[in-house]
Amino acid sequence: MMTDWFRPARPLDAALTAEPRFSVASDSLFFDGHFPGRPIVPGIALLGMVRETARRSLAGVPLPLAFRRVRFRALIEGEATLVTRLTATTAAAGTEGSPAGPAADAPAAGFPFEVRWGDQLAADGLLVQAPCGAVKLPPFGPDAVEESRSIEDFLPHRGRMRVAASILRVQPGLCEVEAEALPSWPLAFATGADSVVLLELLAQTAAAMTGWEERHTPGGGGRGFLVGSRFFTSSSAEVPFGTLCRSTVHSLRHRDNYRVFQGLVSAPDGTLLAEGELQAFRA
Amino acid sequence: MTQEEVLALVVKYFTEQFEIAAEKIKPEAHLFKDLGLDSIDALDMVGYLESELDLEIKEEEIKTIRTVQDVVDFILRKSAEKA
Repeated sequence: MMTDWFRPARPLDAALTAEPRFSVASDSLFFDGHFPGRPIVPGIALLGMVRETARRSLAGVPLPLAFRRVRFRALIEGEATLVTRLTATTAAAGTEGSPAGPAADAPAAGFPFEVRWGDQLAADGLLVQAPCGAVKLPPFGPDAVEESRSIEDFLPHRGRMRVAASILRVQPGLCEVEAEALPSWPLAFATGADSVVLLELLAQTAAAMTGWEERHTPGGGGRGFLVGSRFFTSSSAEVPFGTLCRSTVHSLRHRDNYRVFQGLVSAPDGTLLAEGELQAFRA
Repeated sequence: MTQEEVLALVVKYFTEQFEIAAEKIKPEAHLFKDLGLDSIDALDMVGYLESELDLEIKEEEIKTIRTVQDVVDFILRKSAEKA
């Protein structure tokens, strides 16, 4: 149940200005493995609240499946109450032809959002309609390794917050993991999980890669935290349970402790499920 | 590259990366105040310049970049140093 993860503190209504309030309780399943001994509200919790706000309040409008220019601006440790604000605008469309730009047939509109934690801005960005198809990944090289060790050797996520199941292939700067959408996944509904969880899968793929690099590359790797996503797009609102996912991420560029990743999630038959760009800082 | 070519490249980068309308990207535009960039965007821009244009950028040099024209001048100067 979604309410095992976060709960609307009061009923959501159709008014965009209602500024719904959500609580992440101390026993929220987000804290089952994110992280052991240090409960931190994950970024997908905040984006899940934004999507839930949109789902309830954008009657008659297709649920926007893309996020753009997302910033996670606060490290929220432990239980918290968060307030979402979603604004309708017609001036929020992306630049035509830009990597995360809107489809030609998409409405030229977007929804700027904010998630507030007390008097702090916890996250902000734009919710839009946009197609997948911007991410192009390099091929694996001859040095790619089929990693047989447990992904938990390389990844700090545990319990129900670990959605990546195992590393398939990895080399410095490029990693592929597999996963299966399960009812135990975060933000699960009756028949599938909110596709925002695929952003978490991409983040865990990047984290597994950096954990692997830490062991195999001089000066490489290091644990990090997500500070933003320039774009994230999914092909549907939900990932049906049982869907097999392959998540591939590559390191696009870095500067000091800052690193940018791009990645995509696809089904075994090659169907694109999601793609995105992640911005992270090495701790 | 000429000044015009570099400016065109910078405008393309800002429109594609940050989805800023091209008409707002004037030489005198301040990156933070006028274009709405933040410190992470600035880091992203530096990473882009380093990786895509193969420029080496020092910490103290970043602090001197405030406007679009500063970015253009910086690219021209570093490219000339490299040549």
